[in-house]
Amino acid sequence: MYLTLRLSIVALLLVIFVSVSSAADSSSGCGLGWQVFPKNSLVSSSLRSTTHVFLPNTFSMTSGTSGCARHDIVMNEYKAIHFAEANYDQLMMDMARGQGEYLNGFAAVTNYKGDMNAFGSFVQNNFVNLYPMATTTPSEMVANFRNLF
Amino acid sequence: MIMAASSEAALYLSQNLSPNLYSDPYWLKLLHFKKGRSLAKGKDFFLAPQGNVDPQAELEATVKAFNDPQAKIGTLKLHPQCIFIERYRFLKEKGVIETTPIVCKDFDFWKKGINAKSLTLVFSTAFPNDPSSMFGHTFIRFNQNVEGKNDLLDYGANYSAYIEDPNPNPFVYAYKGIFGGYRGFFGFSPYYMKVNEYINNESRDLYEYDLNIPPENVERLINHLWEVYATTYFNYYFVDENCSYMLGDFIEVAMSKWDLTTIARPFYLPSDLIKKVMSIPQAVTDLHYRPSLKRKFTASLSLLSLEQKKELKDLIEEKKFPRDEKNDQVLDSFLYFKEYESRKNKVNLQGKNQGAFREALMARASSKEKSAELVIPLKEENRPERSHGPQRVSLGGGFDKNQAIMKGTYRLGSHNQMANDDGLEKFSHFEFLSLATSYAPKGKKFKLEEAQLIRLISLFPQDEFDSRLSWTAGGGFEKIREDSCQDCHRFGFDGGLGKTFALTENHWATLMLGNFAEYSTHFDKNLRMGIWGQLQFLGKTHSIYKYKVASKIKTDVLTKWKTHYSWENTFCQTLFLKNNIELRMDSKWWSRLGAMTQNTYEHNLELAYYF
Repeated sequence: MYLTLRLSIVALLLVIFVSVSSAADSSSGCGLGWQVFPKNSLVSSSLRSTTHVFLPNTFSMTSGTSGCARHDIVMNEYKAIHFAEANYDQLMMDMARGQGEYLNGFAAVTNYKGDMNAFGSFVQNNFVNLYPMATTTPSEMVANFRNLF
Repeated sequence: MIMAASSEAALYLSQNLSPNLYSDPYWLKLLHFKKGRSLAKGKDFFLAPQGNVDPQAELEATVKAFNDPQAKIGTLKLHPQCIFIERYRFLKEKGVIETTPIVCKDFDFWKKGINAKSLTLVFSTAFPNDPSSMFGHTFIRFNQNVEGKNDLLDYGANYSAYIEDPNPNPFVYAYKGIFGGYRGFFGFSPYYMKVNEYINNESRDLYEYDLNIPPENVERLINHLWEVYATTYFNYYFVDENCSYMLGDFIEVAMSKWDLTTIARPFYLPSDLIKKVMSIPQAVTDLHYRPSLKRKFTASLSLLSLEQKKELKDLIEEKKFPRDEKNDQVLDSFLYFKEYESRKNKVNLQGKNQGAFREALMARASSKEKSAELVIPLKEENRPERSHGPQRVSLGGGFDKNQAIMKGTYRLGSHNQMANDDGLEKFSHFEFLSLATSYAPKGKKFKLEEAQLIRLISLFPQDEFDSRLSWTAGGGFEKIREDSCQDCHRFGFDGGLGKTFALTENHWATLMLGNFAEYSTHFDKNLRMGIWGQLQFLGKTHSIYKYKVASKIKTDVLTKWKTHYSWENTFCQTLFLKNNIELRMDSKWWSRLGAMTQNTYEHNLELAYYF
């Protein structure tokens, strides 16, 4: 009977382990640049180092009770690159297709305020100029965009 | 901890502090004070030494700190006014503080970045085939105060446990998760990162509930989140003080009249938060459905003709080059497929892995035609708040070969493949701690027949583009029926793998093979181990009725297979009535091949209630 009881407890713990993994949100314990991307994340690893650049010099990673970066706000000049990097595939798809939510987002972070139809046609027609190679990085794409637009 | 300032401040305090302000519900809410102590654990959150158990001392210490120009708090060494933004606002409103507000650069920068006008509560559904996500998840999005805003660029906030070890030992993980061994934090990130994580990486749907919270109340929540963010953490308890409970607790700071955290049972589910919010009149102004990547792919498929589907398959099987594909819709489907596949297999589509994906992108862009927006409507029956409560209780009766029996069951959680799956994944099954008792009028015998610990069943209908296996695992204490013994029980565990085929959208067939291990004093050597195989048909109609027809053969391999070889046939039906009540009929027949005289059967009818 005690064996049964012990086995039951072990079983229950195993079950709950399986369920508990939903507790850990892999996107962030805290903050953009910290503990954000689990090892097998599809977001490029360079994004992690990029975000540290965002933290203004006066702020630093806290230690102690919170253990988090205090500021998760993406600074303006890096908004476009961060967006392009975090949404690499989806943005490419929207650009190839001439429309989409990610394209709208990209327009917003590059401060484009005009007609989205025209914007869509522009990026679609210039797709190979924006992404000349398979290895074109998001920041290169943004630079290409600035040059073209 | 801030030492007492001048006696002037003390005088000011006693003159202006209305009696019992420290027991003002809002003050207690800001301290997250429940059952005699604060839920917050980080010491920087408290200005008084016993602030976590003494709201009065904490209030007095807070006022003194605000009045002390030299005071500095925590690792950031900021003035208390720049940390405890919401406490300051509250005390100023009550006339307790009259200091001039100082400039708080950090907080201002942070708050301006979030730029919040309103709040949206987001629910992510369970991930198909992953029981650990079966309860879903909740987090919030701060909608920016911008004309024509893009949701992706809003900031989201999320409460989660910080797990230091990237690969924790499962038992340590479970133990710490249940008993508060992990710290819980609020984290912020641009919403597009949350969308990536759930929609794209995990193929979960998002339901976005716009909350009717005025901007000045949203501001209070932001102020308070800063207070917590800058100083403290909580103990994360998977069962009750989890992502959803804590989120509810914090939303109550914005809307004090809303009760989002009171619950009768010992655990709190993400869907509970949604149900509570939906039950408050006018709390939700709109619901927006954000389908997963998998659903987008499926929707794009439905736009293709048979001929076009063949072209898609040719592209996937690399029998055709994307550059030779002229049809935009086929290319769009192919792009979605490559995206979905890369997420599923966790392979990056960047650099040298781009291959066919890039070729398809270039082919698509060269057509210069824009894609039509994919329209994937929200199905009302899938709304998370429609799900039944996790607990189940039933009363019924039945008969077997020997006698009539009355039965009563209770289950702690959570959902069964034969129950109404509105608001849940279709035919999902995750049950734990189910008890079944019987009472036989003939012998006046009351018995505990079953105590099922856990049962998980994950059915994944095969399609041409995704062929995941279905599986099951579970076990517990149960009655032995396939043997001649009338009152024997065993402790058993089993697991299995198989394939499911959707004969139609709502009628599935599953073939599974598995193994089992059982312990019982009734057995010859107390132990049986073996294999089993099952064919099952499961179907539903219109959220009113479900049926299951199944046939299972099981054999013990520790003895000659002919000795303990049983065949179990099942026919089960459920009729869903109003108000979370169901009527279930369950018939089972057991026989032992080679010993047909030992056939037995059991027929049951029960009325069940979910809560």
